[in-house]
Amino acid sequence: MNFLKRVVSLISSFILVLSLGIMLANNLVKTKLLDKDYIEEKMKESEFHEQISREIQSSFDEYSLQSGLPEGTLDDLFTDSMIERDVSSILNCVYDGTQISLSDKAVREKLDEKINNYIESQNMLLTAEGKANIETFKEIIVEEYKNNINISSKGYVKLHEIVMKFKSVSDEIGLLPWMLVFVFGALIIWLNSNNLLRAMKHISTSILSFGMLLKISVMIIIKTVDLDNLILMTMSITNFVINIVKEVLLEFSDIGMFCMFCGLVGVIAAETLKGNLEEQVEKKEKEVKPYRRKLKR
Amino acid sequence: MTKIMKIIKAAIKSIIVAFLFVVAICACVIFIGKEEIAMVSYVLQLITVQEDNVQKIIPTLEDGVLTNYPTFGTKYATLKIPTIGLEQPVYYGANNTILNSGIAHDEKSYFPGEGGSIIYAGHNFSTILANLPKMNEGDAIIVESNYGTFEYVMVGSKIIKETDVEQVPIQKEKEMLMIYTCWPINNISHATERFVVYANLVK
Repeated sequence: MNFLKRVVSLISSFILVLSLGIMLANNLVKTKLLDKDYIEEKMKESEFHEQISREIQSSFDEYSLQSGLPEGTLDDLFTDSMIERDVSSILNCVYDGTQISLSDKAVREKLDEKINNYIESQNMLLTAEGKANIETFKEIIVEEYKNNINISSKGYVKLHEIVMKFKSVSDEIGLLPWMLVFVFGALIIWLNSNNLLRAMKHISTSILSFGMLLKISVMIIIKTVDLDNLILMTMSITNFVINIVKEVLLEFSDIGMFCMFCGLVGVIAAETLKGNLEEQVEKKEKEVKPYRRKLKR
Repeated sequence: MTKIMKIIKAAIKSIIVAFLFVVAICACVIFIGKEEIAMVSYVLQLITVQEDNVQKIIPTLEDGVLTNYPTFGTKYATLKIPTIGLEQPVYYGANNTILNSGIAHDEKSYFPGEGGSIIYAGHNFSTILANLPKMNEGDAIIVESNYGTFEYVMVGSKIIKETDVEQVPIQKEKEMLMIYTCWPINNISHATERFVVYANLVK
């Protein structure tokens, strides 16, 4: 019976570790991946909008020389607030499923103004073909703007579907991990009700194991994934994603360390208390022994 | 002392049990998610810049067959046209970054020495191919690659539409170098024509 209790306690400890893992994973998804405000905050921290601005201007500059237009024609075609609005539109598409709406019209208007001003200032007489070439060029520049922000409309729609799936799974999981932790914690205590210190040891071992799992997982990820050399579509997206991944890994590492410490302290405390109790029992036995001998006679 | 030993023993026992739990979980994850792990590994490999893959192996040409092709974006030759004072690096591949840096080698065409069409493109900037239209028939064109030097002689030139790809044919019967740039040279905005120079291999 005792052996069975120990086996069930061990299995419960193992399931407790899994429950803690599910709880952490669900929390990560809910508070980071599915939280639009968190993503926006991280974008500000990693200067995402500024990087996109630089990328767009850099792609415009590559057309500048070959266009034959004076230096500066392709500068200041967009503002920081336009970039922020457009990025926000994409985030809304990913999280809320709304249509993406970009500021390409405003870019086109500014470009029209600058090129027309240049042509007028040079008193150029353009042929129909020349005018058509200029229109094509303007379309190329506007497309560059759109493509640098909206890398893939289909991709963002797909991302929205994935976000919705995660949301539904997370909602379904709900409070289940908490319930599992409570149930199996209570089961361990019940099975070891005549030796609560053993129950404390089992629970502490679970927490220690969970901490080790986190630390080892983070170590494996850091060793196998070359985070600093990842390239995801553009540098702005790469830097943004890597920042979040590094923050999550650091958080996991800290939680792991804390759990390992708490687990070890729990085990040591349980063993220390057990030792103290045994000492006390031994003392009492020594006191009672002479009286027992007398009674036996 | 005995008490401390007992505590240490209990702690070690717990650590071992905890570690065994971790091993069991990892084994389950690897067993259940084998395919997913392999897919994630593959995707990570694709999106990681492999610094060791920088072109360090030199291409070699033997009997018209080139081995160890240059990788996209690497410089593998210098284009020299003495009559117009041109000396520009040649990069394998064509994108805006390459075109702003020198001559782009069209990936669909062959390499010098392979006996087929070689297509080079460059912007009509003063620093790159603005003087290409000033070439005359008989002018020498030298391609100094990291596997050999090849000399061509200009046999003709044409102005074609940007969509006239038949005027820049890719074939393997005869080694021919074709260099093109946007036309007209001083165009504003998008150029719909190209100035092409055709040259045959001399040595």
